[in-house]
Amino acid sequence: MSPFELLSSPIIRDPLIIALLVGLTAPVVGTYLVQKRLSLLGDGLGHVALTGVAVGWLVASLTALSPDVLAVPGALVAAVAGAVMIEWVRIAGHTSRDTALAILFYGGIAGGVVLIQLAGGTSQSLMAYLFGSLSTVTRSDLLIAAVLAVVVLLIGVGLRPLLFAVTSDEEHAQAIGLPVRMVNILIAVMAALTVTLAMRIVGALMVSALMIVPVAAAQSMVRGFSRTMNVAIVIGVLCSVAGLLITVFVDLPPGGVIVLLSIAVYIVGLLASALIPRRGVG
Amino acid sequence: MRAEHTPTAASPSTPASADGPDTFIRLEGATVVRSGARVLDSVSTAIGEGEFVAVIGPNGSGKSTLMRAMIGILPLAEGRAWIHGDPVRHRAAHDCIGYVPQTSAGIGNIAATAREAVSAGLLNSRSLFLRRDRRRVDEALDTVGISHLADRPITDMSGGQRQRVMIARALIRRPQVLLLDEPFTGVDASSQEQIAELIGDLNAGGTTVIVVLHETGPLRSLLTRAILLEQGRIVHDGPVPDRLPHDPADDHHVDPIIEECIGQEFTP
Repeated sequence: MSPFELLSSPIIRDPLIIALLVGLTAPVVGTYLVQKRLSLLGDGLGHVALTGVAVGWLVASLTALSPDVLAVPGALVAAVAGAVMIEWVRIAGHTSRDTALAILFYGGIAGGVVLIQLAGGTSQSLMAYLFGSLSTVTRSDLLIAAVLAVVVLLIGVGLRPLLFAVTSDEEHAQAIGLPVRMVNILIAVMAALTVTLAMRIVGALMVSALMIVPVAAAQSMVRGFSRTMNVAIVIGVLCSVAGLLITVFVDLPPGGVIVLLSIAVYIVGLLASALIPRRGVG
Repeated sequence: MRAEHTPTAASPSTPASADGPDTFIRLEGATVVRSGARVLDSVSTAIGEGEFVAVIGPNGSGKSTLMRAMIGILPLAEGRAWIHGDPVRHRAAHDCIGYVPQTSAGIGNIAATAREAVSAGLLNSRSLFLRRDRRRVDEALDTVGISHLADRPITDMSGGQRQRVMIARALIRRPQVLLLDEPFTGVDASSQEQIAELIGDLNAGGTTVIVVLHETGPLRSLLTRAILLEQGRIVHDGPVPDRLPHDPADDHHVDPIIEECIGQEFTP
């Protein structure tokens, strides 16, 4: 099979489209998380999504469905619920945000391994969701990813001035009457949607890296909020697509390759900014 | 033209004289509790159109808490707050407000440019989708004298320049009430004078100004009223006393002034 035929076959084309969508959306959400100093939120939600996968498996096993049919919808519901819960904990002020994130981390992974066992699987069954896989991507995964990506991009790019105002200075946003609580929940839910759409390719353990590393790389190259987001999107798309193409020809896990590529860009950006003095603006 | 205000000295924790249709900010029995402590304790006051009010007190007296309670940033455990007659929880009531937080706030983790930071002020309760208005942003930056720094990240600016960006973000809203929380923190003396002149001009144009201060500095001659706070309570609300604390290092300096205002010995 020629490389062109390989790329046009659904086995490769569908994961490639998802990789492109992940590369577009993850840095958009990541820019807001970095701005809010909430870089680890995606990690916490990734772990909670694993519990959702296991719940999906459990429900499927009880209803005689194929185990994977409800895995991604389960992850979606769990991640969104986790996102809303962490924002509620933060607003209520019962627990500090980092403690709440830690509980989300441990509860998510523990719930995942326990429930997957109850569903008749083993922790090995979660591997594809933990680290990402090309072979397990289905047509329904592609459809869900496309819908989630459109929602995240509409909110993340369409409401950029509002989201920037709230994430940059929450106190000022409250003072001028912006819907701060709604925006914070919106950002957490966007992170949950991105975790779900990226989980199949990048894996739940590494999805957060694709939200944060392109933004960190962009920060070392350009200044300004919008420029940082735009450059992070370019880095995210290039690394996702290139990383996935590499794994088509070399048998490597796509999530790991994509994240390593992003980190390579980050290091190059750091070195370049150290060697080339940034031109003063204004 | 500056609005004339003849403030009267109020007893501690009683409403001030400014009330009625031209009252912009009103608190009644406002109490803020933090970790079980009443950091703002049954405070009542009202601030009217055209006033230039300083909220003064030693560290930890509740100055910033009072300002935040006025505009709904901090929830009240007891009491009520209104902006222009509307309960503070109504988001639309905040459209008339311009707010300048302390310099340490308002930056975020990604270095926004001055133009981006000021653009945030264009949003209000009715315009959440507003596109950037470059002309208005540039006008606001020009008003505070830093139009040449429009594309510079605010993290690369001096304290004075950064404070001007925050003031421009408030001014772009064309506010009826401008609230500033310690606007001179980290600002050099020359910039303090320029910022004071700018705020004075705004007040002369009819904008009500409320400013939290540790020391009155160059604003001393512009103030029409002072609210002195001690341990979360108002101990004076009225004319600016002849003596006010000027030395930020000497918090006890405020005690004899409070005693002078309340006419008896003050024990914190």
